[in-house]
Amino acid sequence: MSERISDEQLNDYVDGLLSEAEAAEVERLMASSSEARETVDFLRSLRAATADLPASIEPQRDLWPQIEGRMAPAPLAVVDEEAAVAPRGPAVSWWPRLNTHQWATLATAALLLVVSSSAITAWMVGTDAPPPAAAALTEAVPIEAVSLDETVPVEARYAAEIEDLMWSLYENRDSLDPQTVSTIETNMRVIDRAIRRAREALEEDPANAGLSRMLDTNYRHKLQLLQRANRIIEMS
Amino acid sequence: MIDAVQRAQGGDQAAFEELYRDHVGRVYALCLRMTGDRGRAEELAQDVFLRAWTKLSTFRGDAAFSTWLHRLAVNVVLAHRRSRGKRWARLMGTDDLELYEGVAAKAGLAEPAKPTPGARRDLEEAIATLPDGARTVFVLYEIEGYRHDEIAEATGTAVGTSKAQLHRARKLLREALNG
Repeated sequence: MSERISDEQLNDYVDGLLSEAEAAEVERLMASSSEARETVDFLRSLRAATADLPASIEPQRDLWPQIEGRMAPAPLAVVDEEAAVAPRGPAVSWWPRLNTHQWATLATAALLLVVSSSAITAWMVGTDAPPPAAAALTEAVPIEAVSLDETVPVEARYAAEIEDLMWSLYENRDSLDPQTVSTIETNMRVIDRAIRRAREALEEDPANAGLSRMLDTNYRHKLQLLQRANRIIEMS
Repeated sequence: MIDAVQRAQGGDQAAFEELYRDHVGRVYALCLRMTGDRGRAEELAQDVFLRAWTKLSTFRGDAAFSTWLHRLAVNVVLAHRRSRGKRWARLMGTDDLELYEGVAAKAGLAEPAKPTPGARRDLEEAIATLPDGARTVFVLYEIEGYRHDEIAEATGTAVGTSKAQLHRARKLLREALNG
């Protein structure tokens, strides 16, 4: 330690971050430096004054009405157009009545909607390629064989991470190309529709392992879509 | 009797309002001190509670609800800062410390200030005028009790940067409080 005491040493001394030997050395040097003593006096008084600041400050207006007004819908939830126009009715056995188109939607979403295109990857690593277009956000991948923890509801496995990613996407959506936002939202609607149908089907047939696996796969696809979207934001 | 957290977790908005009333002062104080801007602090405090509402199912009671909410508030404010991208990087980056060195040299000549509880308002105002990076570290370290390694992790910077920003904040406060 040099004979001159640095500001960093004095700050660390006041913060208790020095070893016993280092603190003793600072104290020895302080004995011959009124400037250092004054600095330490100031830092200690600042710490004391800061500790005395109130932990709570009430906002000048009540924020609750605005919070309440924004609470009703799940924040960031992509609107499920079908659910919006046709709320779930009483529990009737509609599952056997799924038509070909509905089955196709369910299966297509499960099979196709994953964001792993080379176009996006190329764009993300800084090529001159334009931002990903709609087609680039979807690419067929097979359903992976997964080992499910059947004791945990499917939604619970993904809820927290999906919520975090959706919030991040919501906060940063202005930094994304509008076409990319539109593509993400379109894909999200399809995935959410597939999730809703699989969930409803499972309510009718809770023991159906295939449906459970399909629901899990749809959630994983949603997670992957959000992960990729957030990576695009980070790279932009 | 089921407490407000459990009722809110069950979707009870009135229970969540109880939580809001109990905790808004602490959340707003954090947002205000971290931003130094009343309007932005109000917006961020709203975001904190909205996020808490959506994440309530993930609160398992391992820590006190106030602790959980406080961590969430810090994350929301820092995420807001990060969304400002390069500006945040510049503010927290080491390049900015050249300014700190200049301030430090000048501050060495200043008379020491001795803040007292009676000078609380002056201190709050001085904190509000600190540059973003210095103010963030000062508030997290001095007021919220974070360690430098925790600040470094939360802000995505090095421990040394956190320490330098804290020292810089103290130097600037010394100048400001000396008038």
